[in-house]
Amino acid sequence: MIKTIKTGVIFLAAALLAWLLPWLFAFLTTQPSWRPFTLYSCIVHSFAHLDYDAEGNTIGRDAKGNIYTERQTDSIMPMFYFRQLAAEGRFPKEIEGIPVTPKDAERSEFIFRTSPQDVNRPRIGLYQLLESRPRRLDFESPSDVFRITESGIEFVDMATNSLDKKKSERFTAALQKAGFRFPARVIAGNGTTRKEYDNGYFIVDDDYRVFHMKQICGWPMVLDTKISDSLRINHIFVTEFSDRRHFAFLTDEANRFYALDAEDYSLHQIPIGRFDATNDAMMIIGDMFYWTITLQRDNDERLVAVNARDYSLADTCIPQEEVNSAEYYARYLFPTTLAFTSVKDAFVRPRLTSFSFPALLLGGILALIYALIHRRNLKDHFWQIAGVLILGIYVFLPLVIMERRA
Amino acid sequence: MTESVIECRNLTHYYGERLIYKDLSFNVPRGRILGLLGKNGTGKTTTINILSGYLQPRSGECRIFGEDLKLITPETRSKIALLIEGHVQYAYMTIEQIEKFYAQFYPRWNRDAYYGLMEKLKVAPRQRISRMSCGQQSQVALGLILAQNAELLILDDFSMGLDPGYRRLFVEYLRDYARAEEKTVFLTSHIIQDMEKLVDDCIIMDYGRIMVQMPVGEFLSTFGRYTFSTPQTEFPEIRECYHPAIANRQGELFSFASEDEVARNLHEAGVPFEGLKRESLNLEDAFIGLTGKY
Amino acid sequence: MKKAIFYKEWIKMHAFLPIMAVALLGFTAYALLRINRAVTLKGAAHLWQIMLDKEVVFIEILRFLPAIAGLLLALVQFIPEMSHKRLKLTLHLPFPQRAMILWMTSTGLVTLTALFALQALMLWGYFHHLTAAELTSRALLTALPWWFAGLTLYQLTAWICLEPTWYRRVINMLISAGIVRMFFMSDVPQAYDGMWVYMIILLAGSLFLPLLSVHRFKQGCQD
Repeated sequence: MIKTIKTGVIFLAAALLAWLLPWLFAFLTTQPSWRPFTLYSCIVHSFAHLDYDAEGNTIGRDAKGNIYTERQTDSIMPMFYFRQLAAEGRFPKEIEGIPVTPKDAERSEFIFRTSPQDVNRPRIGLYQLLESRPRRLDFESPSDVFRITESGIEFVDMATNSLDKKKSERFTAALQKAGFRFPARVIAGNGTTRKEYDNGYFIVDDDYRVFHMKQICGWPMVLDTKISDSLRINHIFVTEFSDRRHFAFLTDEANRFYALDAEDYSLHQIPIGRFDATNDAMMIIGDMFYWTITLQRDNDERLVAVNARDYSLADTCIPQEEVNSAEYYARYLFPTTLAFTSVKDAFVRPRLTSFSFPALLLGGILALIYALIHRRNLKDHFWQIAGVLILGIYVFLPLVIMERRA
Repeated sequence: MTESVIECRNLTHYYGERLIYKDLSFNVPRGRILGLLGKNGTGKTTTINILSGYLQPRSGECRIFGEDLKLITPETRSKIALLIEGHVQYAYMTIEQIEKFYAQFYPRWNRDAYYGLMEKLKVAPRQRISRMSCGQQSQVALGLILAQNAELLILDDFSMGLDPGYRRLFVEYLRDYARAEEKTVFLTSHIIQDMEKLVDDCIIMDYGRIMVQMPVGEFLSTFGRYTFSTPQTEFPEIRECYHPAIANRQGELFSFASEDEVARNLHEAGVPFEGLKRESLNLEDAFIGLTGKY
Repeated sequence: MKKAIFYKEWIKMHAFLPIMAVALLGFTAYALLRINRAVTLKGAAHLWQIMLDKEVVFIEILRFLPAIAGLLLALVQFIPEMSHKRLKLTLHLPFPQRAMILWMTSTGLVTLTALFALQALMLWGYFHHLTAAELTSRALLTALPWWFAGLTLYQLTAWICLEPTWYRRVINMLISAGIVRMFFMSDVPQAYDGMWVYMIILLAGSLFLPLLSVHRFKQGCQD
């Protein structure tokens, strides 16, 4: 029994070291990593990023190797720096043959971001449905929240913490009438009142059909979007951008990424390849001509430019990655890493990552040292030596520290 | 032969690299009061700790009531009363609480013995032990030991902190109690005078070994001090004698040997002497004679 | 005999328990009163909306309370055992030694659990009255690792206190600090939803740690 407890303590200490040592190592060796701000230029039709010259002045560089002054950089990205250009009277009259004004630029610009940590976090399952046509210009905070159960939608009045039966029945009936089958797989909408307009909620039912639900003058409006249930939509991001061109961005089970047209519920696949919202981060800086899409999976970054008019691929680029030498050494030090948090989600749970075979080398050396310490009594230390060999420094340290004076 | 309550065989212990003793063996027979004597650092407390199960000796074996100390059962522990160093007790309890607590563990609990002693203490029943004087605390600890009605009493430095009157009282009480009820007692004390009145047998320890284990009466009748006058200023090696010393042409030595034997040994060593005299000693003097002043 | 064991633990704890109960439940009441004040001033809907939008549960000030309670209770129970090596008396009692230690720690664990249950009941009562089941369970699930931290830290502190040498005591403290850190890694409500199995394993494992200290004590380990 005591032997088991002692072994347990060694493993506990090893687990803590597997957690804290790599953390400490990373903490001490972190170097500032800088990724330049990159956009696709609708003028030079190339990715261009901001940089600094030897004197510290802002300059622009494009993927073709051209260098621009700060002023020139503004003008090759007119849809992004439209305020600056308009103030200087330099905003172009037309781009790619299409007449534009700073107003068009303002109306069509948007930034969309999603990260695994936004997607993978504890959900409450309560949502706020706004009145889409408020009495006054601004939205009012709703007085109730809704949840979708196995058999219907329920509205709960917040002030009294009681079920609004009438409203619940009304909305359940409307959903059922539209062909909705409870429960819901995905519920997506923006409950905030700080927006220009309200597109309500997009809800995927049990049969993977996507429905659009809004509240208009207190009454339900439910529409079947007719998006094919074979796609199995699994994430929806309701956009509500100024240009009102789209309802939402969506992903399906095959990790395809779509934009949902607000005019006719038509679905347009965006040519960015595989995008898994639970694993990948995305940022879109969009305007009426091009969307610059930055995709991040683990440490790899990829840039995609998409023509906003026909959703065709305009360009792609993979920025050069600096090799982190500390990470390289860590592979030789640590056989694995225990972490409780992750950049990929907001949960705390143990996860073993970064298994590294090269660390066996250090494990072997430490096992040899340990064997030398106990050379008179090797037989009794077989398991310890094996532990040091496999788990290296994590087992070696606790063993040596705890056996002192034993 | 009487049955042994404590049997220790070949005890060897080190603290780190420092040897405390090697191959120490002794028995304590039933019904005897045995005092463990030794200078500081000879391993008295180490022995008590081993016997009470709070120290694993490097090697060797100890049995109490025939049970290996490593595997001693709760039933056997209930037959052993233990007075730990400094007479420590659960000082956060009152004398009533502590009695109530211990009584539930010992089927032969003697409540009257405990309260009999406590009455003499003149403390309030709700007074916490920690608020009592050092001597009073010791008396509570001793009261609990006696109430336990154990067969074997292991007492570490039992006279510590007691005032002379109570010490005398306790020694007498303990002696009568042990004799009357055939208790076995294993004890240490700093005050050797107490031991003389109390113990039947003594073990005298030197660094790393036992010098003497015998009944006190036998020890005091055989071990004596010899004085003589001599022109020598230094002694050579003399057989069977302890701590020979010369001051002002007056020689002194201690020995278990008879007067004739001592005379013969002095001759053998070539020490000229006159007027050899033997003196009997009390336990304290005998102890010092045997172990030396330093 | 078990009654006597509880009796001794009770004597050690009884002066401290009311203070701990008042502090724990008082702070809980204070947290709830604070919420109630906000509700009175701005309405219940405001509270709901903040809980939904901002990822808070309004009882964050109670975060470290169970851990502190666990730590202090273990100190109250085990420092008296170790001062002047009183553990010698305890282990000498005619009762199986391991069982004795387990009964002693169980007394503390049951006491803590009872207090935490009371605290949970207070929280549940208030949130249940004021908010939807989802938000009530969110508040309680967010507090769950705090309670686990309290119970685990209690065991770890017993392990540290009963350890006879300072060298190992310091190592035990470092290990304990690492373990306790694990319970406070995120401010996100319900972030520990996937962790409770591991928390149970950890707590169950920590039950045995004091036995190791006692084993070392019996071997006579000392500085």
